[in-house]
Amino acid sequence: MSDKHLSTYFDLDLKQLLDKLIFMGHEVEQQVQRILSALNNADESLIEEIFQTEQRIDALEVEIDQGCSQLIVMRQPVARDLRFVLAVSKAVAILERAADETIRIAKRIRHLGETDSIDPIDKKNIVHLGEMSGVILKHALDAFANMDVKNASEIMLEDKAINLEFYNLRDGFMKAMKENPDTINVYLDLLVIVKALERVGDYAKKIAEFIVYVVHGTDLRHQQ
Amino acid sequence: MSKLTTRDLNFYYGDFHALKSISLEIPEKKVTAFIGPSGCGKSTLLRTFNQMFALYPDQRATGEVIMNGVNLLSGKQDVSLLRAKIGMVFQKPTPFPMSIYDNIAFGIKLYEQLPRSELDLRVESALTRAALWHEVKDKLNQSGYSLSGGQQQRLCIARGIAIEPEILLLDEPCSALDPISTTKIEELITELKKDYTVVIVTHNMQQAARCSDFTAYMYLGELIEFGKTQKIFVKPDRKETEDYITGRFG
Amino acid sequence: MGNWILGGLSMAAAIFTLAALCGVIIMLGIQAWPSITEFGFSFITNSVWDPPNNVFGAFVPIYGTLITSTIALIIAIPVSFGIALFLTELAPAWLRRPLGTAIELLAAIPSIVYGMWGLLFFSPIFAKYVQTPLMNWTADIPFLNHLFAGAPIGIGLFTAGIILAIMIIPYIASVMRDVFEVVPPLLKESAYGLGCTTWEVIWSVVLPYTKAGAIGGIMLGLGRALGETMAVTFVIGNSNILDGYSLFSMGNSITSVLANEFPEASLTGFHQSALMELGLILFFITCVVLSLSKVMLLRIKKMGGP
Repeated sequence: MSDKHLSTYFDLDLKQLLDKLIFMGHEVEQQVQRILSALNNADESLIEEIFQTEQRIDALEVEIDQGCSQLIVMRQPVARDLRFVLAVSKAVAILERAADETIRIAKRIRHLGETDSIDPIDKKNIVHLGEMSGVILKHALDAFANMDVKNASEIMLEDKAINLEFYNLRDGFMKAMKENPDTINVYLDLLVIVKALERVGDYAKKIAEFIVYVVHGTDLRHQQ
Repeated sequence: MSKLTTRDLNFYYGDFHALKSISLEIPEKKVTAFIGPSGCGKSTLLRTFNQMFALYPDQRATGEVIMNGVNLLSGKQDVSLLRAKIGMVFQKPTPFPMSIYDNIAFGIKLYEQLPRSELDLRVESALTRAALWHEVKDKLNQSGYSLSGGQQQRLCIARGIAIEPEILLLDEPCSALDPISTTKIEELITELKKDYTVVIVTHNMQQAARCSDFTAYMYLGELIEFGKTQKIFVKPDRKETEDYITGRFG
Repeated sequence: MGNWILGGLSMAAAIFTLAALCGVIIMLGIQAWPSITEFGFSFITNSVWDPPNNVFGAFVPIYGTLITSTIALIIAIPVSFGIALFLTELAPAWLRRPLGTAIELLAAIPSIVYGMWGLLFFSPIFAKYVQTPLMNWTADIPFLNHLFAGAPIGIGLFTAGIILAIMIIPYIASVMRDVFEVVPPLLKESAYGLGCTTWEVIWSVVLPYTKAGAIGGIMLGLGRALGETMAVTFVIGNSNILDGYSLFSMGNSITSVLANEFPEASLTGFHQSALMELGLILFFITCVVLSLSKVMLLRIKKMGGP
């Protein structure tokens, strides 16, 4: 939002909306970091923290959504403002789903119990995937905060890399399960975890698509 | 299908160049809205369409305004007949100093000699189309000034459509009206486009968004952007347009 | 405190005006009383005005006042309308101001100048170029030949009417111009927008819209015509004898009679009292005209004026 409105309060409202969204985004980002720590060390208190943060994130979602509808009622935004408010309203739902993925992972970690049962190489690969997801989420949020279209296209590429990494891990897991059926219990949980991390990457990509929508008005969803 | 086309239209108030090379195609049986800040030339453009400027000696237009394949600026048309084809409604209601019935009948009588019964039908039909009939049918002989502002404006619209024009020009028709009257007029505009090509000048962007199919944004006598209203209000092509409609104009 | 003073002062002014009006009426009534009781209603219908024999009938001056004012209005209304129309709608912009000012200046000419001009300059020309041809032309037409009969001497009721018309035209025209000018341009444009010609706009929209103001202007002119003294005295002929109803015959008006006879009216007999009654009648006529115009305006308002 480079130029200023005639109404400074309109600018202020938009800025507040954006700030809250970014704040929520950072919360989700931290959830991913916590997940990665928990993978290394399944500390029950850490997992408990993840569940508590989830409640804060849910509350933020509701708050930002209310902010969107209030702004629509008060300002009747059109054109770029309208696209921005719509994008925020959708991005907030996307972030909430990304947060849900971290909860899904936390539950799996708890289910696994001691993480020592995981093959160290697998663990290293999963953490690597998780780091990629954390980074793409951070990039997407930074780009959204600045409405940076150029970085948005790079984010699309990052997502592709994440997908590739996910397919590699999945293939490896399947191979290991075939070789040693005793490990199926562990690998099923790990599969859910890597799938969830891959989903976080997808959500980051969706947020990047909204940037293009806000700036250029073109809808990139469901297009190859 | 374009009903009215302007090509390289320029307009001057004395030495002041008020419209700069406007080329525009107004689609038939659609509502086209002109938006832009005060003094951008949107009302002037409207007044060029029905040659209202010809009443004032220091105003002149060059270029082409083409309706039904004929250039209206060529000076070969009978201005009165032309104006009858292009009805106009102004910012403020302007009922004539006569009864409600005569306000409508007056225009019809200019062109047709009708027996009273037929005239009655025409008056009723015009008032009905203007969504005013039920409010005035019992007091047709009262003065047009006895009506409320919103009713007066609908009376003026009825008067305009009674002579069966092809185009209806509305110059900020709701600027003097309360929200309820405004809603009724907007409703009416949407009804009217079934039969007429409607052009509306408005300062109220929400109004343009609500009731027009196409929107033209004008600034300082120039046509900045013209396109489908949906597009203009979601993603206009020009940054100037976006700045104006989002309120970044200053 | 300040409010109280202002209120008191303005109320005093209003009461003073009312008191003056009542005083005039009462004074006129008292002075005219002997004549009223002596001649009764026949004062109005009797056309014999004979001071030496103490017989007074005021039909001739009343008739003269009414007929000259009527002629004046018949001429002045259309002319003023035309002038106002030209000044507001048709004249090129550069001509409007000078022409408007010139017409307003007509009202500044003292009435005695009109009188002298009418008697010395206008009436000979009128006799030669208008009266004579008109009489020849209407000689064989019934009614009209009586209306335009008599000696073409240039002075008389008709001439007085014309001079009065010239005198009241600036009043009516400038009022009409002013009211035409305040017609909202949008209203006119609405009418043009329907495809009206200039004439249709004027006749069907401007005129009805300005009815009240235009009638006010006409009434202003009529009031002036009824009360005008000097110019009329010069050209009306000052004859208290009426022969036939020819508009060319000499006659008299209420104000002329008063101006001519008041200085030498004898205090004995009814002469002065009769003159007072004439004044009362003029006052009454003016009141009636004013009330009629008020009633008319009220009706216009009811019918749907702005």
